[in-house]
Amino acid sequence: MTKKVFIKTVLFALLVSTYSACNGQTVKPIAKDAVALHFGDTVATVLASPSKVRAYILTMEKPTQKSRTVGGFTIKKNLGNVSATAYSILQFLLQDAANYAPDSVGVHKCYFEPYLAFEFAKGREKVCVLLAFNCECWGVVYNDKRIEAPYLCHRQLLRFAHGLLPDDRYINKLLTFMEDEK
Amino acid sequence: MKKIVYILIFALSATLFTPLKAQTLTLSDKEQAEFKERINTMLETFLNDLSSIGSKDNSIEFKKAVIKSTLRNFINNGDPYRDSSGYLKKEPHMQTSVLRNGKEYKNKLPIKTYLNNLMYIRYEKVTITMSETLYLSNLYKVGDHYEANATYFQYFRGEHGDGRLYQDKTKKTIRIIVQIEEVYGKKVFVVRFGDIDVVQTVA
Amino acid sequence: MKAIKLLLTIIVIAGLSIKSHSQTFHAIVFADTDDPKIGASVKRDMEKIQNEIGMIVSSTRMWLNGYYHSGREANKEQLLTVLQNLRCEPEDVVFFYYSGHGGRAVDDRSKYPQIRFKASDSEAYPMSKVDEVIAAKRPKFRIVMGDLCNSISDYLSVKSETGSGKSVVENDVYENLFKNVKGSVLVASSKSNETSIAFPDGGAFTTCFLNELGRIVSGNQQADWKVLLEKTQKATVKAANHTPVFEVNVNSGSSQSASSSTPVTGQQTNNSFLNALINMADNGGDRNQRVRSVQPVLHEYFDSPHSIVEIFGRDGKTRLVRENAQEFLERVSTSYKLINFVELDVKKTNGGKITYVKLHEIYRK
Repeated sequence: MTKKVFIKTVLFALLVSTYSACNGQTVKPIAKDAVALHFGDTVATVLASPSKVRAYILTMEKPTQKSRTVGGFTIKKNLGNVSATAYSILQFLLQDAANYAPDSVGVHKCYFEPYLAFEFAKGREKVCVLLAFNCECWGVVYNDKRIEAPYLCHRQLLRFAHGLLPDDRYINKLLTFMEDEK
Repeated sequence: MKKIVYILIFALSATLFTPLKAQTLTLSDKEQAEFKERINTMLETFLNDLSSIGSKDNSIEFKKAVIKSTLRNFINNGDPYRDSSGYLKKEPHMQTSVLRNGKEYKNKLPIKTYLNNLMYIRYEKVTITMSETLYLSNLYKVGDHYEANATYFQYFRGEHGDGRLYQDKTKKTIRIIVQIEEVYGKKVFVVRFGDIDVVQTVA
Repeated sequence: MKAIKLLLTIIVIAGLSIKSHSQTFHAIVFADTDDPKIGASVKRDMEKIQNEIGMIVSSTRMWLNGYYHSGREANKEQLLTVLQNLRCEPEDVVFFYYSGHGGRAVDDRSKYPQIRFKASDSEAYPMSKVDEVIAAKRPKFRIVMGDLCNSISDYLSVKSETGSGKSVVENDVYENLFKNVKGSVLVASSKSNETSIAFPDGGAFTTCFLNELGRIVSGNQQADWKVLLEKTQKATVKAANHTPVFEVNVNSGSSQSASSSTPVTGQQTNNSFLNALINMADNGGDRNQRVRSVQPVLHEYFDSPHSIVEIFGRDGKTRLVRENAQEFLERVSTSYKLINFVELDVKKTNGGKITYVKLHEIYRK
């Protein structure tokens, strides 16, 4: 009796999965972390628990012999290490799927010009998060490969940046516009 | 218990088969609108071409050029053709009608013959216009192409040299064929006319 | 004898291309169609705008001087050259349109962005400066329009300080929106600190603007630039969440109607190929002459009778007809109500003969 029930159950399960496949449906995957979904598992692991995070202000000028680069962009100013309290906000924003703009939103008609870069390091792995406020996009660079994605948390990111750089002219200008719109 | 399981299995199997759907041409709304406008323009041009061919104001040279251009709008340039199964089909025809003593007389002619006859029609002046908005059905897949039907009202006015006048209003249907041709990897929709038939003629 | 006939026909066709009337529509279009991110969308913008320009000149019967630059040709140097060489008569209309990347400097005061042909700051040029340069040419009416971002970039520098304009007045559809008006319209697709969105089928602003214009035209509604742009603004906010900015400074000009003094020979342009087609189409020309001009035009402009001609719909996307050059010209020479053409794309041999051309046809209603 038990054997018969077992066989029937297996048959039933097979039928269910075949039915789903024939109708073009797939079994829903277990929800992945938004960072993993957009940028990959390794990036997600590094961003989730880094051993060190450094921040930089970037410039779009081409690098000279003296200048250094991060994420493929020239460093204008090295801001040094960022505390866990501070970068946890960035982690929080990156990990929220609701902050990623869907494809239907379209593409912004501006160049990707990141102002801030955050280098997350974990052992030998390094991931660079770039924030381009001018086109409301963030980008992640890993193994010299860059993936850009438009975000929907412009105000929160500006506030986060303001927290790190309260006297920055550019950040303050952007925030002024945002406050004016309220 | 066995019965319930078997019924369940049967029910699930039945749902695996997707129902057959009528195959309409999957054009977007915008594409449908563009094609409808195109067909409208083609038909208006065609009716004007008929006027041009029938008019004594135009030279034979011009009329022949118009006929050549008009025939390109028909399947296989107005000649017999083979369908997708290889069967030979008759050339598209034009059905005409004339009212005599209140009675309607119809006649079918191959489109080439009709146009050539029209060049030498006995009227001094011929005017053929589309009097009302074209009704165009949806495009449906038939074999390897798509078809639609268009219904329109046509005003015919023939003037003799001595002032005598013949005019009528005819409801006609025209078969529209849309073939898909692949040229250099691009899909091109080609619109062609088929048979033109009379539904009804009134004075 | 044949050669002489051919030569004479060509001279007649070329002669008809010479401007012989008073009002010119200068269409200056720059589109960044090569950009990997937005190029496809910008290409759609360009096709749609070209079609619309065709409709405008067909309706208003103005001579068209078209300056269309896309891909590698859409650069600052080319823009400066076109603007420098632009010659306007007092009755002329200038329509400038740009679709591509844009931005503003932190200290930019103008509410309009800078056009950014490339990522480099030196390749940026303010929209307000374009307006200034065109204004200096003194056309009767000018429109400067851009579909581009207006977001602040730390990298951009201020290029110029310009003043701003003022307000309104009235009019009607194509004739009155573009021909019987004096003044200026300046419009950008987003306000300060906003990005502009590109959808696969074109920029959000351009699409909304053309939709609103189309609605007014097809409904033959009373409209003026302020109403048109306000509706466009609303539609753009709804579609893409960015707000176009504009200034309308328009008065109704004297109506220079294309009256009995202007022969009905269709619109002429600075494109001799299109002129040849216009003369062959249904624009009042002698019918026998139209038919006889098929071979001369074929030899003059096409590489062979088998060169490809494709006709696209008003959306610039729906391919309606594909025929060879011979068939195309024969059809045009006996056409009814066909009055104008918009050239969307062309491929030529090294000798300048057409092997492929993509057109939109405009019919009289």
